[in-house]
Amino acid sequence: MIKVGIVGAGHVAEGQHLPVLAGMPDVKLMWICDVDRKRASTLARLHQIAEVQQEIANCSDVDIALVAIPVGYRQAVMDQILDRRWHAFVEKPFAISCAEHDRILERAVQRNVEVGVGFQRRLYEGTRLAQRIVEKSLFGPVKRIWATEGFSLGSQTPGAAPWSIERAVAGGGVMIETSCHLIDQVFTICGVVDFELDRCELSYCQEIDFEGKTTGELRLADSGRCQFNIGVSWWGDLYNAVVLEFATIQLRVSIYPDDAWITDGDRNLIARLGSPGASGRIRLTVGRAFSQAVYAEWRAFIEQCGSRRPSSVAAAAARPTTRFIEECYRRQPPPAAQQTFPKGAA
Amino acid sequence: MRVAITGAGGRVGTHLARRLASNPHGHEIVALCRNFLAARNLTESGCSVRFGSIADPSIAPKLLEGCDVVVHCARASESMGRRDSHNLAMIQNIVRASSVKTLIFVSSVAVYGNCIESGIDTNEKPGPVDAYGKDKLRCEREAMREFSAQGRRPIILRMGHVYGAFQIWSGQILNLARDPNFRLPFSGRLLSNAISIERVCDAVTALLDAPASGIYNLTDEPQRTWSDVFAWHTKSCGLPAVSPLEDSESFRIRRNFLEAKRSSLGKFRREITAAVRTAAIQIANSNPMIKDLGSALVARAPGAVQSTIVRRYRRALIEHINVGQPDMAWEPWLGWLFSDPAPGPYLHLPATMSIDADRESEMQRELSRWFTRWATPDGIWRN
Repeated sequence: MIKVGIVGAGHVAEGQHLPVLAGMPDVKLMWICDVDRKRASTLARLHQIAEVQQEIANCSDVDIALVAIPVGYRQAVMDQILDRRWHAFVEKPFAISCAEHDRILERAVQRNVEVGVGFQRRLYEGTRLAQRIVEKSLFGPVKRIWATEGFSLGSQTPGAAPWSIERAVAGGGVMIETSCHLIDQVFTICGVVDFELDRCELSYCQEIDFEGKTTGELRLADSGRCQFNIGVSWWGDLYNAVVLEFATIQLRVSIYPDDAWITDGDRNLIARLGSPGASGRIRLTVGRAFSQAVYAEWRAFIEQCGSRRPSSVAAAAARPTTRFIEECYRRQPPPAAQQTFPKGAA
Repeated sequence: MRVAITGAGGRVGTHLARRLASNPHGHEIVALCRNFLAARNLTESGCSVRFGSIADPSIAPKLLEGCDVVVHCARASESMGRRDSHNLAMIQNIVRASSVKTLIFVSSVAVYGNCIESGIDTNEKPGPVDAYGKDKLRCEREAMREFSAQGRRPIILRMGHVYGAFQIWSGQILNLARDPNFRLPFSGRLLSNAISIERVCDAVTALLDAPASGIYNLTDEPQRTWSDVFAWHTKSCGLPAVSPLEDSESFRIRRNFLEAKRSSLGKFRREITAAVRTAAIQIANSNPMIKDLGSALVARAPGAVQSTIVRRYRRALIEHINVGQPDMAWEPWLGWLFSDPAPGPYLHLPATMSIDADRESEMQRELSRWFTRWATPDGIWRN
């Protein structure tokens, strides 16, 4: 039985991880730890978790700790988790900077524990299909990549919680919170080993970026190169897909758990791709639905902890994503002047 | 009057706050937003902004201080289990604000369910089917009860499907229009419950000047057919017109939506009947001897009986065939395309408030600009 502890009783733990973990027969949820005891107790009651704590130091030993707290609060928590030799499965974004990313991984190596990151789009069936197509060069070399993701801020989106507008806690805005998923998905599909950022335009509201447009070049595992355009926005809806342009066709991969589509030059749908035998069956190693992807990432990480071999959710593979976002913020940091609001602002 | 708009950072609230602030008719407009990020589109609107959540009883009094009217567009941001209680808490906190004399609650036709059936679904006894509709109805009842009991003025606006730039329904309509499998039910002849965002703003403006208590449906006037609504979108964005779905298929799908709304026992009875009928057809079709025997018997029956048997057999056969994998998945929210108009009183606006050609054109241009941003991968770089 694998013992799992939950750090952070927010909506990510509640809505994404707990429903999946509670249903895994070889997982035992040992405790839930949050500074808000009431919130933690509510979740504990819902999922029959015996122990509720407000400090890691008081938590009983587990095999794996899920870290689902804002990135700005994590340093001390991660140190405690790793020092207690618990494996750590960390929600995205993994780290604010490459220095922090490296520090966590180094400490994990010293303590002989595994670290994973919750980039569940790596487990989406569409992502996996596209990855295989690019790997095997089935449509030839990738010429260009377009990747955009955007939505209007609403009650359930990033930017709603009070901590999400404090840069020191959230680490930033749309680039670190939303684009990390998209960038990691692009890098996973294409097997990116390096990148060159040509242009980066961030739009800020006070210290929080709410829109970002980046262009540049990716260096791929097969030594190929291709141009990229990656854009994210909290201002409004965008195309919400990754589009890979080949010589004569395009491959469209959704940001949601879904199949991949082949389209022609005018973006007319030619064919939808799905794994053979996929219809009507739940596939447990890749995700055709969001909760399936969360299940698959937990299975992958548990396997990583057992075999000590990197899995598809290994944190080390997320370093290029961390570097990309760090570079964007370095190029265009938040403006010094504060944006003012008309009278009445509280 | 000081008019507070809750949810002023949302899709409807932002548009409403900017419109009212640009032409306040002597009122002071106060936008209530969760935080500065939610309010980023209001910086040059001319309205004052207050930050915080009116679901929080410790902050709500300060947010609503001195406000005479509240236009309540906000919805809670907590996870599902707590969302409903937070929505109710917002109503209760507005009730507690003694300065507020009029509440205009932005509700939804979702309180009637996802496919209205005339004569069954009524204004007084709506039957929501999903959590959203049920929550809206609960909040309506709380608002009506509390405000009426205190001699204050509650106005419930059951809004139809709001369309226009940045509105969810417009995104869904445009995506349907681009789906090669989509066909417009009943050739789009049915009256929609759709309403343009501009008309929502007109309605609120009218109510500020002449408030009238009660529960009203709010749609375009005259009500547009779905054909009109889809055509408005496709023409604005340069898309081809949508193809029609024939009536027989439309009726069949509408029956499914209506049956899904009915009581469990009735639904169970209907499912058993359908299963038995389908099984009989399957047996007959799979066994040549039974089929031949059946044909021989029908051939010997009187003419009228023959016609009835053949007609019922054909209908059962069509239903059986259509049970297979559909080309188009008719998800629950699409029930609105098969729906009757919302029942009960509608809010009518003065004729002077009808949307003229210039405003109509501007709405279409805004829609087109918004569509360009998300319809193609390079949209954000073009717009």
